[in-house]
Amino acid sequence: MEEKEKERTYVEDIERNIYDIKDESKDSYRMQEGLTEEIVDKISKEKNDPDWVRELRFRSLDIYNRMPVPDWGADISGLDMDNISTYVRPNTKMSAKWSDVPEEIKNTFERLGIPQAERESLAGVGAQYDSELVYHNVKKEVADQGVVYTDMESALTGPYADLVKQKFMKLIPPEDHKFAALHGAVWSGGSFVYVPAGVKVSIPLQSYFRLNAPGAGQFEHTLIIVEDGADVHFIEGCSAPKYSVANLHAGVVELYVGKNARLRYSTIENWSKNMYNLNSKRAIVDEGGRMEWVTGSFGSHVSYLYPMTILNGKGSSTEFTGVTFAGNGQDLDTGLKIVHNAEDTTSVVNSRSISKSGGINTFRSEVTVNKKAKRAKSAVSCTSLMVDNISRSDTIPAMDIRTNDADIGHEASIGRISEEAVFYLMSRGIEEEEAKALIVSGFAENVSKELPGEYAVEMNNLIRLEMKGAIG
Amino acid sequence: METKEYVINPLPVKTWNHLRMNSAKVDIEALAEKDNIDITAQGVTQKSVNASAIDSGLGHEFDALVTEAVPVFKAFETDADDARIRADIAVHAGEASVTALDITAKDGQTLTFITDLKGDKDASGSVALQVRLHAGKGSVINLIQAQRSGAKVTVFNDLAGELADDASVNLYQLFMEADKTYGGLELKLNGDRTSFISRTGYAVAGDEKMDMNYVVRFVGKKGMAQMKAMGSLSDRARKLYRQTIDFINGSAGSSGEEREEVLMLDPDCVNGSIPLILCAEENVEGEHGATIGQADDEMLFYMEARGIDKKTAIRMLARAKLDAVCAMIPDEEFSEEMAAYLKGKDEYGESEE
Amino acid sequence: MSQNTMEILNVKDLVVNVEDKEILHGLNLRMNAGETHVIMGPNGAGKSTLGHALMGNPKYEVISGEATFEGEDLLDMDVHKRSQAGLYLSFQNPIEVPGISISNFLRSALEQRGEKISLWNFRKALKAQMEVLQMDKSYMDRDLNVGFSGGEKKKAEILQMLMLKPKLAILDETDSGLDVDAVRTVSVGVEEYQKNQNGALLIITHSTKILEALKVDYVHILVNGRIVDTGDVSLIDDINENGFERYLKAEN
Repeated sequence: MEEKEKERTYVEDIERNIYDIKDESKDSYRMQEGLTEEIVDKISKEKNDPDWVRELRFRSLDIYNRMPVPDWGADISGLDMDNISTYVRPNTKMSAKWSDVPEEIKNTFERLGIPQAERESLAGVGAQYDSELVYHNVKKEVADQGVVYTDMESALTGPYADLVKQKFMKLIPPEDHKFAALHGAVWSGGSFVYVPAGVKVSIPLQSYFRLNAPGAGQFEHTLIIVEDGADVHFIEGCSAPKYSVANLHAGVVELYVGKNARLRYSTIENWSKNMYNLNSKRAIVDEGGRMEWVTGSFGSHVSYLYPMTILNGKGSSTEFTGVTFAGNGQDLDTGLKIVHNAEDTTSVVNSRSISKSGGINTFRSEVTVNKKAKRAKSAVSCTSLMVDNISRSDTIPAMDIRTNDADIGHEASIGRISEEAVFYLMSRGIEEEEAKALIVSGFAENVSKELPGEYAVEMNNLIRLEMKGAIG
Repeated sequence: METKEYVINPLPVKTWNHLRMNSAKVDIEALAEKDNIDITAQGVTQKSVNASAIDSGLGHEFDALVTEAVPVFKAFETDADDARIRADIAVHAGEASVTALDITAKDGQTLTFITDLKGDKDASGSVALQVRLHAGKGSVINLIQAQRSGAKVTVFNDLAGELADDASVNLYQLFMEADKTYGGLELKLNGDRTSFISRTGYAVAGDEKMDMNYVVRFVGKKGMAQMKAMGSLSDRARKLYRQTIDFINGSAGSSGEEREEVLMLDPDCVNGSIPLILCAEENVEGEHGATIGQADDEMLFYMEARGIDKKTAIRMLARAKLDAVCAMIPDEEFSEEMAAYLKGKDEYGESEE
Repeated sequence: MSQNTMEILNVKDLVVNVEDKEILHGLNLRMNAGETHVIMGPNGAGKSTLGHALMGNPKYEVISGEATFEGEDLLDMDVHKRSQAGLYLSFQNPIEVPGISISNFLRSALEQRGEKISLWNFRKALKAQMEVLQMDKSYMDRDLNVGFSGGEKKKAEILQMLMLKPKLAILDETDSGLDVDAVRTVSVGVEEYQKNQNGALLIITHSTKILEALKVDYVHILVNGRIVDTGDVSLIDDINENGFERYLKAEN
């Protein structure tokens, strides 16, 4: 038993190293650091933008320059745009054949298990390396149903170009906040998914984002349109090796859920701990539609992440299931926003957070019920766990209720690992660290039980590694 | 009347500005002490203390305003083991009055302090009250506050205080009638094994507005706080409740609980709730719970099935929030007085149709 | 059986839906003042539906049929008017009403009936009835049903019945989930109502313990949303012995 334990710990250390292996590959193009009109101009030319995208970039830059940095939330004073390269193109073209991906990049993704995952259980896979997608493929039977899954740049000129133009940065416009404006100016890469009306994609689509270049930013744009009655599950994974300089991720995810459609969006985020993760995600849900968020946030130095759901159609609903683990050197400001904008809308939130080794967790939420949202129901539950006495956990939930015909419940609690539970497990021969790791894994079960098997395993591994202090 | 804009009721940690919950911006006219307070006390000595800055719920800008207007506070202390002080503060037409009271319970004493803000028939203007509590070792302070200033009055009700080892503060508040109510509280549970229990009842109706900011900071070990706010909103009433429990590192063994029950009676009322739990200590328990909504259908059917018509049933449920707090008031005389006042309000039909 | 033959309740061809599903399929029932009727039937037969539909619970939708109370159209009345007219429903699952004490609640309910009663006399009367039910006096100032045990809730239902003095009380499974002592206490309360207040009773039950001390005039068997048999008290023994088997067979 003891031998086995040791062995497992050893294996996990190796596994963590997978995320940290840096590629030696030379980028074919790296934008100079900073954010100026020249840089935006160069990115636009480099990417052969359609005119409207080019205009959007300059408009966004102007907004970015005028907008203040948020006066709330985690400290981002360590982030200096003058030191960030906003565009790094890998030394390859996008490919639909895994064999065409350059050896070094292929190795990185293979270490992360990407093609393997595709073979086993995915309907389609995209892999982004720094600023561009290097691989994209959809299973034939899924494509035959009319499902489109491509890189964002191709979508700008593809068969749904008009639809993309209509929806792109409309749900999260550059005016929304400073980092949405930044994204608008320098975005590159990301995925476009279109699921036609009535099509139910039975196995998930996945995108994996890897930021390899030090001192770089990743600004991918994800746009998913799920037409009426359609159903899809999209999984997103992110990682990066650790560098001593700050990296920045300011992606934007825009999700359109049609009438009686369902979209599940799952994220396992494991950015390295030099990453500023200032990501924006937003869904708008039509009549009877359903938006499900499953999110595990483990990485990054600082995160601002509040997936927002606008319940815009009668009877639409959302469910948010999340866990955030803040360890040493991490200040993770995560949560959600929900706006009830129509009758009979429902929201359910189950959020957990774990703070350890000096990590800071902030759960920040907004539930707004507008006047026309008669018979809206909302139930928010958020639980925080303090693993030690040098960490921090804050809960800041706001409720803005503008109709009396609503049923709103909110529960929050904070506490520590039960000494009795640890004692109980130890009395059965499990050593203390392992016992605590087990208990914390159980605490995060709300999320792991919602994830496909291999992702749940990956998440539990991340928790155990964090708990055992293997990641500093 | 000259007014100046102040930022009051600051949320201890900011959130999204678009929610407009981070603080309240209020125009306040120059406040001055008036001869409008009547103190009833047994065995209590009244002294004066020089004003100094303190962390209060309404915040530094408001505190500065108070200490400027009231350079010398009325201070109370007693040598009796058990004392009762009642401060009746009258609200007249067109005044902008401020009262500042400093209350000390020496080690082991029990002190009941009542403040009653009561408006004349034609009361208007604004009334400000700041109460500072110093609860000595093993002392008990029961602070009972009634607020019935009148439908044209803006009320600032500010509390600050600190608790030494084994001290208890019990707070009972009835917010019954004002045009605008700004309520604040900041308590520091400095000693070990302190206890703070608060019960705040309110009924906000018509175009009235209520904006609150309650903060309890756990400093010492094994502190306990239970805060409960319950009230009803009707007509076009707007209410925002900020509630914070802050476990400072070192406050091991402490537990804090925040509860809010909001009964929303009409389609045009607006409720804001933002219950913070801040925590930098592992060995603590913090909890928050809120239920917000209209009267439960099944409950209404049950009451109607016993012969109470729907309108009365809803009014009873709304009043129940104030009644419940009233019933908990540990001072029998004042509890009965308030019960009678509430009953009277009811019979003369305060509710708008 | 009863000296008083004035009709109090007349239900004709009552059809009731719950969540769009038809539960009662044309139920007929006639009761005279002061009489005690028992309705027995298997689970899901529609026993509780009858009580809630007569009381006017909005979740129970009357599709067709008639119901009169002392000759007045019951189905046309607001819920509180039905109560004020003298109909009482003892809930199987009484609702918790936080912030309103039993005493405050009952006094308001009496005031709404137009009864002016001084606080002193009211509390005296309440205490007397609580004594009948062996309820601790402290309960009168406790919030109605909040934190009450199952037995306490049922006692509080009977207490309200004794205070409101209805002409017809429907007891919906008042004895379910109670231990022997609690059933006995509740029975004493029901007996008090039957004998001293001369109230009519419609007792919905599937056990017979509560009936032992009461005089029962009629027993009805409710199966699949219809009354399929009516008899005297001897029918109870028959059901106790043979169950509802033969009625269910006949239905199928």
